[in-house]
Amino acid sequence: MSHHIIELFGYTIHASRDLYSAEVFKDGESVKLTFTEPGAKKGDALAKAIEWAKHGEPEAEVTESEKE
Amino acid sequence: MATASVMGHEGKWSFAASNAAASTTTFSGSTLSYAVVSDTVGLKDTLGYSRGLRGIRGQVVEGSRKTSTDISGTIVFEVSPKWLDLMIPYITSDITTPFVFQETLTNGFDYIRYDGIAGKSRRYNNCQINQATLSFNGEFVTMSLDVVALTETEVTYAGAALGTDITWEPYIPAELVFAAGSASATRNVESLTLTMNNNLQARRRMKLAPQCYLPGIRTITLATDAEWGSVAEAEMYGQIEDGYAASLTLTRESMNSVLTFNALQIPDRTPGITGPDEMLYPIQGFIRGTGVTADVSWTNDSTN
Repeated sequence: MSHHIIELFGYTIHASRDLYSAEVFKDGESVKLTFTEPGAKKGDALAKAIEWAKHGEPEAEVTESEKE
Repeated sequence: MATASVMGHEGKWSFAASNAAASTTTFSGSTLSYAVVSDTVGLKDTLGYSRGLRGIRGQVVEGSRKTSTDISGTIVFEVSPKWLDLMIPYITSDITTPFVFQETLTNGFDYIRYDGIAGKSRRYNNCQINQATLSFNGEFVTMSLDVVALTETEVTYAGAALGTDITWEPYIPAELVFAAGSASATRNVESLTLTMNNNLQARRRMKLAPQCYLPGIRTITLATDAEWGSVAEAEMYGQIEDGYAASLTLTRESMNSVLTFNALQIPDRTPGITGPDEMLYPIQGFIRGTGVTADVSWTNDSTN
């Protein structure tokens, strides 16, 4: 599946093609996963991943149940 | 003694959101002023001439009428984070991040251009962006906006009353990252032009001037030339028809602007050999959505 790969602030952000989810990697290791909330715009997950990468700390951690 | 001319460097610009069809947006000293490279927006009248024959070769005043009037032109600026903050909502007609192109247009913006003649400025109301072109081919990343407006009014704002200059360094090509192809790899390109065309249509029935502008079929294209080699050929040439995701990122310090493209479709164009220098792969791509997925999603962060 095609996806978006963006390098920002020392992180690599992988976003799904439909922009519903995004994953932030540091040195090849996944450090953050974001999702587009119900009702939010599709690019919301990517926007949140970029914001997270900028500040380098999670604003709201995604729980295991949300990941599933 | 030569009569003093008005110099272009005396020009000054202020922008504000338009609030209605008959906008009354207030500009004041607290309004922000933005640096503009060039601005050709203005009134353009058409003087039609009758086809009636009068027994003479010459044309007479009585045979002519003003048949249409338009307000349009191009504003060019060097792209900075603050400029993008201002203009992305008008380009996309979206007001919240991540910005995606909307089906209906916003009210647009109003702006005042001080031309350098004391006490005389021109005010353009209800401006809409017909086409936005982001490009670089030199020192700075620039944006060119094809603008249409509904009214032009002469107003008495002096240059000094047009707000505080928003000083912000423009982005340079070294701060731009372009990723495309089957592996979404970063491509170093010589030049790049991203054209976002709203294809606005003027509604002018039985009126001299357009009464409003309607959004037409949107087209987004990307023209560039990537480095050519075995990897580039494998990842960019002979692509699937659906294209691949791509992105354009501007980043400086903690500021950034990210355009993510759902699919960049690149029709094959075999690069020819035109001389001894490095070969480049010419890309004339189309950026399109998939089903209901937006073609472009745009985030902009100007906070440093």
